[in-house]
Parts: sequence; structure tokens; C-alpha cells
Amino acid sequence: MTPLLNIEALNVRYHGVRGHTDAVRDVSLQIGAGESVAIVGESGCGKTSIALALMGLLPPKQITMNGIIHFNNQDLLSMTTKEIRRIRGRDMAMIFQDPMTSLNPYLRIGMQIAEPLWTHTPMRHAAARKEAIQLLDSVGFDNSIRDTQTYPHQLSGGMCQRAMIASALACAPKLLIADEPTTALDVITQDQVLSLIRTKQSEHGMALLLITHDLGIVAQTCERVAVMYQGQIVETGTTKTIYENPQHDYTRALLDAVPRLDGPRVHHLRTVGKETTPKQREEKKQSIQSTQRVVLDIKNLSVHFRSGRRHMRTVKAVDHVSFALNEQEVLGLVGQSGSGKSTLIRALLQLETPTTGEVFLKDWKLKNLTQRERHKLWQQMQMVFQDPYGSLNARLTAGRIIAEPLKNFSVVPRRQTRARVEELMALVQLDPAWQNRYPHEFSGGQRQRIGIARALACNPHILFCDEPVSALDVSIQAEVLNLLRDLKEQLNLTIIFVSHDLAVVRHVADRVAVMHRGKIVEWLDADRIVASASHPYTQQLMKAVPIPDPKRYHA
Amino acid sequence: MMPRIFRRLLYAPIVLLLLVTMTFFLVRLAPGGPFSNERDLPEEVESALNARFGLDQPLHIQYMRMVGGLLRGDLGPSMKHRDRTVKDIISDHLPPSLLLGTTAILLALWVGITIGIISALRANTLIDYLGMGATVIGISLPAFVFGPLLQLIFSMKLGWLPVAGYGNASQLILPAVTLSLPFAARFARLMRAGMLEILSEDFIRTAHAKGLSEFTIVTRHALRGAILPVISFLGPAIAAITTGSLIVEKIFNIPGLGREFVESALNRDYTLVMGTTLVYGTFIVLCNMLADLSYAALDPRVRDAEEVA
Repeated sequence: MTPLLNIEALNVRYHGVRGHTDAVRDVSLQIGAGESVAIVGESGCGKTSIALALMGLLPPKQITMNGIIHFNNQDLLSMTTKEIRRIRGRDMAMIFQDPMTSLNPYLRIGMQIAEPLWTHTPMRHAAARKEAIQLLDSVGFDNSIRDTQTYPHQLSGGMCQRAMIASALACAPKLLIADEPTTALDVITQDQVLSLIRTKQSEHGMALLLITHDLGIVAQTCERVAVMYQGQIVETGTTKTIYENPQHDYTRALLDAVPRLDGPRVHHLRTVGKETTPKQREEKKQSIQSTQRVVLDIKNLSVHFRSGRRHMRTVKAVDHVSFALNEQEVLGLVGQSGSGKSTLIRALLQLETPTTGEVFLKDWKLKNLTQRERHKLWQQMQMVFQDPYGSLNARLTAGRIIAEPLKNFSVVPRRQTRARVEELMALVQLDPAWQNRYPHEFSGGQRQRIGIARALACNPHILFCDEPVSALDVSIQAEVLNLLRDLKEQLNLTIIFVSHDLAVVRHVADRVAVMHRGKIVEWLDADRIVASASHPYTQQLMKAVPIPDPKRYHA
Repeated sequence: MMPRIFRRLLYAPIVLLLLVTMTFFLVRLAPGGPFSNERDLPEEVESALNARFGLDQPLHIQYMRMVGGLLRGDLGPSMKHRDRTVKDIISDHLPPSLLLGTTAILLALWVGITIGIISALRANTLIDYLGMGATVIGISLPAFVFGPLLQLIFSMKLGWLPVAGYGNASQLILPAVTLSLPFAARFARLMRAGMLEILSEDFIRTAHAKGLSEFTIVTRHALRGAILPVISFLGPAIAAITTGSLIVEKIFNIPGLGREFVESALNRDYTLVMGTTLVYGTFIVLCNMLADLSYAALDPRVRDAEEVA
């Protein structure tokens, strides 16, 4: 029997202004009808190029492609655009990484879902509308008739991804290509979306090609895995063999880089590539235990917003939160998007006015601060942001980005700025010689290091890290997490670390607060998270963390 | 949607009152008056004229009378055109201007949007370069060069169209084309830029993945977002087209309001200045309002942001 999809010796070459790049090199892959296969690799390894090649979505003028792609007994590479168009969306559908930008913001959801029906079936108007409502129902919308009338920005990321799936399933395709379908979502939503994809796959008996950097989600979803590195498939096998007996070094490194909830807490995650062995440092063991001096004392803090039509609804973003942060403690703050984590941080930084409650920084009561006082406050509290791409000014060099707080807060005399910048870059393990480069010349992980160096420049007491690794690949995430751990020990930092991922938080934090609907519902000791969690929401969060172990799922 | 319309409608009279006030004092600040710069009138004739039009009254009384008149819809008599009220003059001269302006703006939109879309879809090809080259010429070629050039070619040499005048459709073509040229060029550039930006969005890739045709993708998925920059510019453009029609009206001898507007200012015809300014002012306020409202109608995100604000 011929497989549904047969890729043989596929090469994709991009032509740029300065020479060309081989994105895909000699890749062969087969997917049978109804089978689920994953391509795993870090960003830039060429996995998305394969997906786009299958869909015929690569820009024809900028690439050359050769090899064989047979799908459903048809030769895709010899087809005209018009013929491929008839297959796209009907026999082969695709969902993308960022559901918010992948849906058209100007069109109603219902119409976007019905669109493949209009295009590929004789179904029109009322019938297509009815079908769209049914599709929305089937992906878990509770008020589908109303929701066909909504626009994407009115829905959450998870709901948008569900709508994308509904639209992809509209014509019951034989193959669904999912390109990082959950990377932009929080753990619980990720879990829900993945299980939706699995259910739909078995319901429709369609084949699935899952493209991801996260080995954790693969174990749960796919039967076979192809590991991709620098344009080539370095290892393929059933999920079980890949996880239990990885042959290639890269596969092993990738597996070790995933922070896990099960198993012992490791001091350093293994990283992928050159930096595999972290420099052995004389570790100050005595500083691991935090002192009992309280730096930040939060009493009964609430932040409420008014929203909706005519501000009728009150949203309690932060609802009576109290806790004390000790010096040199790393506090993990966990919760899914919308749980109030970011608002809490903004309130602590005095960027949001609390509705009730008080915040003390040592003996300083933070209330109704003047501009000058806030300036003083921000020297002591600095932040590392989520998106290393958007949070660095693309028109400034790395050196100037890091030097800015030095000048702004007059931390060091002007003459010493350069020396301090170099010191900071060395601290975050960046080559100081790179200070004249611009952000786009750095990788995501390196950019996040610049962000960390910038935040540390003015010697803050407290460092806020808002989802610092959620935009990064697993392999790079491990590097940044290791760096934060090292820095904490080296500089005795006090950190509030915000994340939606319990496994990530567990790796860096001493104490973990679980936040749900603006309230802190549970406090956990990071060493005993699994054992001590009791609140149902924490259980739910824990269950949602994907575990890179197929035995757990295919027992 | 509704509260926004109401708010804008509330602002409109305030803006117009400011406009009226500034116009009133500015014209009076200019040296000379309606009866001072022609051949020397006898002293008593001039003061009799001033008394007849109330110009001997203190300024604040004149202002109050003027505002009172406006509220009653009375623009007063023209101070220069004997026996004609401002209302007469406007109702005679506004229709030609309005017709010319509307034709020109529709023409500019049609040509501009078409060229913009084609250029964007064929970006960095010969067609694109030709189109964008033409827009540079369109923006930089002044009406007093382009208009006579058209007259020379299409009327004098080819004899296809009348040189000038107003009355039938064929006489409208050349002035409308002349007037629309710079605006068509700007629309084309805005449309091309907007289209290119939208076409690089993720959701366009999604549309391709659904198997939609190029035509559907452009018309259904891209056009709405891509046209927004054009819409933003539409308000100021309509204003510029109506007030800028003066030169074109002059070249093609069209009895429009633009000519009256300028002449009234030169003649210190206080009441006519006020009348024409008010007509243009109201028109500009309305056009900007319409542009804003259609922007909100096209972009659901803007609509929702308005509701919350």
C-alpha cells in the first residue's frame, strides 16, 4: 500500500540577497493514512519549510525545490498552482503557530470557518452557515450561533486556535498539518487544544503532521517522530524508541533540555549545542538558602478594572493578594493567561494603581508616588520581558541597550559605562565584543540575555521576570533558565519569576505561588511541588504540563 | 457606533463657531474695508454705505449680529455684488464646484486604488515601476501645467473635447481629470503600501492554505485592511479638492465657488467671505467625520476600542 504522503529526497533552497540557504536537505518522510507523525527541531531547522512545501505555500520566486512529494497518489511538485489550490484546504489543511494573527481581524469568525466550504464544496449561504455553527460546536465553543458573529480580537488565543482548527476541519481533510499549534498558548490551553486535535484526528481518521520544538507534547500526540537538525532529519522512529533509546546526540540533548515535573530537580538543564558544559563556578552554597529579611511586603492588594459595555462589569484582575518576599528568594508565580500575574507585577512596579491594599519595599510605603520617587523605585525593581524580539529597540546596538539604564539611573560615572557594559555582557555569557551589533543579529536566546543584562545594569534589589522563556525554543529555554539560576547564586538576586509552566518555575524557584482568577490559591515548596499540591487548580496545571515520556500516555 | 456619532456631532458646531469667530476677526484685521479701495468715494457716500451694512457699529455688536444671523440661517447681503445675497451667490456657484469635486474624487479613488492594487500585486516588476513613476509625476505636476496641457492635446490638436466652459458632461471631463491627478497619485501610493503590508500578514497565508483563489484573497481578505490608509487620507483629500478647485475653475472657466471665495477675500466682501468659509468649513468637518466613521466601520477592532473608551 502506498502511504498517504511520501516525501523523498526533498531539498529546499532559499535565495537571498547574499547567497542562498539550504533550509531542507535531502529529507525523506512517509505518513500513512490516519497516522500521526511529528517533526521536532529548534527554530530555523527547516521544519516549517517542509510544511509550507507540502502546501505549496513557499514563495516561488525566492526558492528552488527538488525531490518528490506524492500525496494521495498525486505528484504535488508537478502540479499547477490551480491544481494545488484545489487540494489545499480540502485534502490537506494547515493550522499555524499564532492563532491571533493567523485569523483575519476584519472578518467574522463564522465566515472564516465557512470559507473552505464555499471554496471546495457546492455548499452555500444557509447550509454553510449551519455547517460553520456545527463546526464551532464540535471544537468546544459553547455559544456557537453567537460566536460565528464575533471577530478574532474578541476571543482568547485558545478560542482562536479552536476556530482555526474548525476551519481546517471544514472539508474533512486527509492530512492536517499543525505548525507549532500551541506555542503561543499557556499550558492548560495547550493541553486542551492538543487533546482536541487528537480527538478530531481519531474521529475523522485523518493523518496528522505535528511540527514542534517541544518533545513534551509529542509523546502524548504522535506515533512516530522525525528529529530535524540543520535542515536534515537526523533520526526517525516510533515515539517509544525515540524517547527510550535515542540514537543521535542531538535527540538526547533535546530530551534533556525539557524541564520536567517528574523526576528529580536538576541543578542545570542540559543544553543543546556548544555550551553543553556550563563553566564550573565556585558555587556559593551558603547563599542558596534565602535570608529571612523581608524585602517586599504585599498586604491585601487588589486591582480591579471596569470593562464591557458602559463599564458595567468589574474584573478583579488581582483580588486581595498578600505575601512577603524574602531577600534572596526566588518566588515563582504560576497561572494561566488571564489569571492576573502580569497585573500583579504591574501593580508592584506602580504601573497600575491598586484598588485596595498596600505594598512596602523594605520600610518604604509605595503609594501615590511622584515621578521622581517612581524613578528611584525602578532603579531597585527591574524587569525582564516576555518577548525578546519586541522588547529590544531594533535601532540601538546591544551595548547601548545595556548602557541605557546606567545613564538613566547614573549608576556608574560616565567614563566607566563601557567597562560596566562589558562586565554585564560577560555576566550573561555574551561576548563583550558583540556590543556593537544590533538585536536582529542575535538569536532569541541571546536577545533574552541582553534583556537580562539590561535589567541587571542598575543593580536592582528585585528582578521581575515575566514569562522570560515562553517565547523561546526548549533548547534555548534551558540555557536561559540555567543562566538565571547561576545569576541568582552569583549575585544573590531576589526574583519574582512569572510563568504559566509549572515545570519551568519548579526549575528556578524556591517557593511557588499558584494564581487563579486574581487570587493566590496555593503556596508550594519548589522541592516538593508534585507531592504537596492539593488545590484542584494546581492539579489541573500539573496535569497539563506535557511529559516527554510516551509510556505515560500509551499505557 | 451611536455614541461616537453623537460625540462627533456635538463637536461639529463648536468647531464651526471657532471658525466663524476667527474668520470674522481676521478679515477685519486686514487693512481696508469693502468700500475703501475702489475709486475714492465721497466721504458721506462711504459712511452711508457703512451704515447701511452696519459697519459703523462697534465690533462686538457686529459680531453678535453676524452670529445671530447665522443662527437664523441668514448670511446677509453681499457687500460687493449689488442686490445679491450671499445665499444667492452660494446657491449659484456651489453646484458646479460640488459636481466637479465629486467627479474628481471618485475618479481619483477609482484610478488610484486600481493602480495601487496592481502595483502591489506586481511589486518590483516593470508594471510596478511604471505605475509608481507615474504617481511621482502626478504628485509633482501642478494643475496650471497639466490643465493647459490637456487642453492643448485633447481640444486643440485632437478636437475631442471642448476647451472650457460649464454645462454639459463633455465639458466636465478635462477639469475633473486635471483636478483628480495629484489625488489619484497619492491614493495609488497609499493603496500600494497598505496592500503590501496586509499581503505579508499571517492571515493571508491562512487564506492561501484554505485554497482560495488569488482574486478572493485580494478582494475579501486583503482589501479591507489595505484600504484603511486611503480612507484616513480621504477626509483631508476631499477638503483639499473642494478648496483647491480654484485654479482648475479658472483654467476651464467654470463658474464655481472657488473663484468667489478668493475674490471675496480680495474685495473684503465680509459677508461673502463668511458665507463661503462656512460652507467649506462645514464640508470639511463632515468629510473628516465620515472618514473616521467609515474607518471604524471597516476595522472591528477600532469599533470595539471606541465603545470601551
